[in-house]
Amino acid sequence: MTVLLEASNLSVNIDTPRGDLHVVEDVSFSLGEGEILGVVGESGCGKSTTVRSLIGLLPRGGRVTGGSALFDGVDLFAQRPASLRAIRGDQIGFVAQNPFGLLNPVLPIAKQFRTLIRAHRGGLGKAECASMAREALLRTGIHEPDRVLHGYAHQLSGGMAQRVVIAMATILDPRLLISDEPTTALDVTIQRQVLELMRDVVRLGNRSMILVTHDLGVVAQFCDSVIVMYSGSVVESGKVAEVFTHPEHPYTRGLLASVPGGGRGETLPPGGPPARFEPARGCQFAPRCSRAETLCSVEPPPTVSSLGGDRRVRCHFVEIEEATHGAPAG
Amino acid sequence: MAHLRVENLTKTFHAGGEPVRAVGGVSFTIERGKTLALIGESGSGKSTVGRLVLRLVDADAGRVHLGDVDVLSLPPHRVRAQRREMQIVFQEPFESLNPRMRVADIVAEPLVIHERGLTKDQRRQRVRDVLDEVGLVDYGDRYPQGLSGGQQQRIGIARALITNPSFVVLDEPTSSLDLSVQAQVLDVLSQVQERHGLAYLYISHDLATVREIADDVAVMYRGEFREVGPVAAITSDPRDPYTRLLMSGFLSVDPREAPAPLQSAPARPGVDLNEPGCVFRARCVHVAEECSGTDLSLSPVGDTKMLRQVRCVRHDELAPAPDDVPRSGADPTCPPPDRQER
Amino acid sequence: MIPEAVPRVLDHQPSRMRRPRRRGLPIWTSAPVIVGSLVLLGLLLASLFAPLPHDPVRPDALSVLRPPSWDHIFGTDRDGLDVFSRTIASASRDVPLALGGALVSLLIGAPIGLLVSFPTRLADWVMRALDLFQAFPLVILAVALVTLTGNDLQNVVIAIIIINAPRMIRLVRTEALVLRSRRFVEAAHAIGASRSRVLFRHILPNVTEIMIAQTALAAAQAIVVVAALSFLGVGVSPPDPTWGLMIQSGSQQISTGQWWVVLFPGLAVVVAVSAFNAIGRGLQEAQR
Repeated sequence: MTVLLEASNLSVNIDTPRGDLHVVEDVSFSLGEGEILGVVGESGCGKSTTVRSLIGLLPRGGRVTGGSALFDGVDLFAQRPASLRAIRGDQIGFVAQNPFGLLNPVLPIAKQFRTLIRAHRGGLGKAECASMAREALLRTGIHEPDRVLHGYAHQLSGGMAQRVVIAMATILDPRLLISDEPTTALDVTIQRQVLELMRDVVRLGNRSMILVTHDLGVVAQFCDSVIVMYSGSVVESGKVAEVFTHPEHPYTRGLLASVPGGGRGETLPPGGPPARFEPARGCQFAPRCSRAETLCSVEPPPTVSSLGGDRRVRCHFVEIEEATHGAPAG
Repeated sequence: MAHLRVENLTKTFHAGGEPVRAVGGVSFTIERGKTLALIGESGSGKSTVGRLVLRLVDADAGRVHLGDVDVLSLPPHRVRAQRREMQIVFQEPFESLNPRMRVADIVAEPLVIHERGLTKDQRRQRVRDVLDEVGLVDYGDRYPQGLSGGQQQRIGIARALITNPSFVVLDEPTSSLDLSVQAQVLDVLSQVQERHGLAYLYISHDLATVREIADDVAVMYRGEFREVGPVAAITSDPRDPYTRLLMSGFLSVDPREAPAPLQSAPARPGVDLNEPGCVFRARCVHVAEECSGTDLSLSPVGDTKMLRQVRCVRHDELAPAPDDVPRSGADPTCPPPDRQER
Repeated sequence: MIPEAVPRVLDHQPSRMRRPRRRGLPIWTSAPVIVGSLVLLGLLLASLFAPLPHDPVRPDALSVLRPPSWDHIFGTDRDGLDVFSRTIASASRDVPLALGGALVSLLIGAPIGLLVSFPTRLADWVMRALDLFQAFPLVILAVALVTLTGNDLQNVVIAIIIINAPRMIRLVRTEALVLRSRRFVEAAHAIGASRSRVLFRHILPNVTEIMIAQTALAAAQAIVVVAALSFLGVGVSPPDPTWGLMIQSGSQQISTGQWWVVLFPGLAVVVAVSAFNAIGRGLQEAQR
């Protein structure tokens, strides 16, 4: 599998009145062509900021303080704003939790498609844009694209609006789709339809996708690999089939055990990732971890990798051997 | 006799001159110490039911009895006094707390309103007691902004509990919280229910938490109940196609358990839902001739002691074959329909 | 597709939930608020207590229309009055008058605004009447009214109220209406709070900051109204200086090249208006 995106040692700070908030620290991952990568963790763990930093959509006061993100050989962080704009929308599509935040309420949908297409493919006529838009909407399961195109965002239901946004995000045939909690605001049945749609769009075009979510079920059923984040760092990463069946990091185990109805093993103590104004010392999860010892709050945990290198765990007390994969965890 | 008895509750809103039926005649009862979960998608009318019962929104028709009190026919000034008996915990923990008030003042407010005879010290003691009950005894001097979502929600619970109500509406109390915090809040709710014998109406869109907290469940769609009965019975053997659709939306966290196909048909544009007939027939995969023409009512199914009711006319055909007992627990798949119409 | 707006949400939050405002420093500690207040306070204190280089009301026939110099740093006017001394001295009349008018507008507008946020028939009537009233050009109406009813300070305050109270009513009503739909107000009803309790404990404390900000903006507007009225000769008794009066008396000299007579009081108006605006905007910003 060819690597499409390689993020190395990515760090993001947010400037707040109380000082520099270390939101993302030393995060590395890679994404292959045709792969769907899940980014999962509790609210405040930095998962959203991590992926938004890739396309320059940081919140106010946010800046990338280190690392690189090679997208098809091009470092996204070294780009000027203009060339980054040329890449996003065209080669990288974006879908957010609230579709209405990405749609302009006062412009007809057709006009918004046209603006987007012309921004990247200058010189296309109105009719050509409209037919591209119609096709994209049909692909996302909208049966009457013309009605949607002539209407406005407020006339759409949440599920329909999300389909429109997906159509926009994929219309220029991007190689990477970044989606940030795309189905959190939707009902379960619509969520399934939208996720299946996104998966099909990605698979059919041999695209790649990064899917940020707090819903472990979504990762289990729709992603190939996963990174689990806690307090700005990746605590565990690997293939979903391995990480979710044999979680190694105590946090991943706790997270999976906390799922109502589906969990087994020791659940996560309540709380959340702490906000940090200083670089991490020791393991951030230690205060909530049942296995924590003095060492954990002093020494930063080492990253333990499996033989193939695609399974990584950051913990003092985990040893990955190929053999452990056969035995049930917990 | 059940503590809360609701009969034929009805509410139609008028949006831009057009009537929208939010709740179309629902009836249910809740015993003390028991929880009825109302589940459904957004727009199903589940939150409206909670507000109608509490008279936060006025019902068009129906009856609500809480103990001996006929809630809907109380004059306005008596409703306010009645509120100490019936409370609500909201979905958005932060939004539901006044940002300008300290935690202790927020929690004490119901006492200030309903128990005027208390001295300052008595009131302070009651606030301490109830904050202790939700595990936040040292937080009285804080403002809601400084607290986490889970803490804010426990403040909301403390406020609802301080007048010792007998009935509480829980309107998606955990849907904005992380899993670990969600579990903790549900724990707190179960503990206080046990201690005080509270009747809960638990409104949610999330089947997983319903299994944790509820005794009975009512599945709502377009303002009416599709299926009512004990949680275990309904989750292990859903009879109404809509319940099955909801359950097929559930995603297991075990990647080896592939989800069942979604039990939803593409919308049929020709169906006019103002005509009599099943309101789910436009999306139902089991739709047949008998689904149109007459409005459906809930009919009892299974063991009569279970008080289980379902609306679908074809529920008998949807019952599992004797040798095809559905798995219970995390994987609520249902047997494929024997024949598929259209 | 990429949003144009910078996302405000750091991480997953349900869309319906507003991010809690950080409760840090009190809102009046923002820089524009401090600078604006210091400027106004300095101006006011100087006009009340500072020793002025010349008597602001005693003409000096020997130095008429002198350009700025070391002795008269802002020059003198056609009566030989020192422009600097008069500009400073005016502040003790203009600023309190504007601020007072704005405060009275607040005291009248805020309670009415709160009351008409209840959905009653009276509220509808009040709002219709306000629509009608505000359809008039209010500045002209105020000036006409004051000119007709007589030339005293009270009438200047009334003019300020006519212009600013309707705005205050609308602002407070709009804010109160928004608050009414907030969940914590529904929560207050759910615990059995009475209407007045909802109003005074839950709505009022959440609109005070906005009301204070609006009052500062109204005061900025009032500075201009006071200047305009005294330019027209209303509300002042010469030779006591006001900025409007100074601009009026200097306006004849612009064409003959004595720019300083009109420039410095004009600048003083700009400074005072900017200072009030800075306070108002600063307070508004701090609430975001």
